[in-house]
Amino acid sequence: MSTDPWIWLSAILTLFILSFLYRDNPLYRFAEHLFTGLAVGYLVAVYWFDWVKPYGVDGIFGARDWALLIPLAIGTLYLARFVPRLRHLMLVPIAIDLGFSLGNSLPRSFEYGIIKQMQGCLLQPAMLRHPFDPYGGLAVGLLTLAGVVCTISYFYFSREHKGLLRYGGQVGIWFVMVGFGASFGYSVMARVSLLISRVQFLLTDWIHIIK
Amino acid sequence: MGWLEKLGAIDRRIIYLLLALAVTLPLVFPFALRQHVDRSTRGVFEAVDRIPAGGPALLISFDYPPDLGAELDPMALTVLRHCFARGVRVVGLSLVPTGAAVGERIMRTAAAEYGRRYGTDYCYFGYRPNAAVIMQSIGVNAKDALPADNQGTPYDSIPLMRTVRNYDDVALIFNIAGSGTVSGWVTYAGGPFRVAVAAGVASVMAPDFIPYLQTGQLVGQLGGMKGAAEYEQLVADRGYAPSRGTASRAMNAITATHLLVMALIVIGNAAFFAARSRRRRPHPAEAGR
Repeated sequence: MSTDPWIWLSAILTLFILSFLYRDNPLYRFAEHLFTGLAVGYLVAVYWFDWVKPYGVDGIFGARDWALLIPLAIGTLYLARFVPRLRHLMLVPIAIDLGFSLGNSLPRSFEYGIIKQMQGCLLQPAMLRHPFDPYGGLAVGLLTLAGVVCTISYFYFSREHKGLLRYGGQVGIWFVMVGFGASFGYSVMARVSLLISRVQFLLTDWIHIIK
Repeated sequence: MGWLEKLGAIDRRIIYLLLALAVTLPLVFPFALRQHVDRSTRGVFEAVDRIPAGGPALLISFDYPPDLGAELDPMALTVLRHCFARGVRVVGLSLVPTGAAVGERIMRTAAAEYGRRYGTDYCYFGYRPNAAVIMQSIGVNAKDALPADNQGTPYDSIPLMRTVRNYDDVALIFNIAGSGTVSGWVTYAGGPFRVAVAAGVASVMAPDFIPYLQTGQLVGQLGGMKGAAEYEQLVADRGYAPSRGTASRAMNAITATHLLVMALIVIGNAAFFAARSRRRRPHPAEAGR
């Protein structure tokens, strides 16, 4: 067994968390609250040392870049939410942040998100070279195109689902279900991976059963 | 109540116990399980393998918190082993606050295994706030985006960074992500600056980025523990690492647990349909009237 006190602490806290599987208990809640407190404390330190201090405090008081006072003042308006009479001022930094983010991202998202993805759905002559290639063949191209059209028709609510729209939607829901199935399989792997990691830690670093 | 219905109403703690056994036994008694290497994994491997030793750098972004380390740490380690074994220079950073310490630990661990030196073979810039701005400004002038490394060393004082001006000097961006930063790297760096982007993502997110593989916006993707295990196998087969790593060992347990989950789904469904058919069947006393 390990003689490192930090490994012991980690192992005991891991067991506290896993004890929830039996039933809710004070040991689990202690570990949960400790984790939450540590995470918040860590984040406050990271935000201060990696964001506020180098980009704000050091710039203003170290490099004497007085222009930084403007974004600092605007950012401080977020705290107005704690003063009922001035609460509306909080909307100023939110509006600037949203405006900048949208203005910055919209053209690029349109070009490299929507347009590129639409191109990816189109049938291209190059697909004929290897028609059954699972990554870029004509068969997959047709399947992708059919999947996109049918799935969109399922979520098209501006007309009553009758005739072609109805059949398209019915096929579309199967594509959606296959997508959910793939996501579920990956989700199982993700959750099990977390458990495996903790078991590996307990058996390797703590008890030394696995070398 | 029939035996199938009783099986359907089993105490959840028994299922937890079965799950614990399915995880623990394959770890204690491992068996050699070779992975089928997916084309998306091979895409990442070949992109890293094409980078000339001492040439343009690989930019690795650790955009995930420690709680996703179970899947993503082995991924990051095996890609870095591949780089350091081949003499590829690596520049690291993180765009999420909780990823800063993760990236530093992993880069130091991998570099120590191959005797790589900080500053000349690799460097690490820690957490950089405002992801979209950082991604774009590295493409214009990396020094403006990353003025000093994680220890406060100025950009120009790091020998490796003297040859990295912008994305022109970056061969590949490898984003290890626990959130949507992959889309950001594709949109703000890969597209406008024509730099290759590869991703390593947590399993739950892997299907979300498959469309980027189809359009070629990602040169490859590692999906969860499986992707990491496939990459470990490629790295070990080519002799870049003495053996496969933790992800390959974990795949034994993942295989066992998936078999258990599939069996439980079948049993649960069978119990559900048995109970439903029993409810629909009229009681013998009612049927006789």
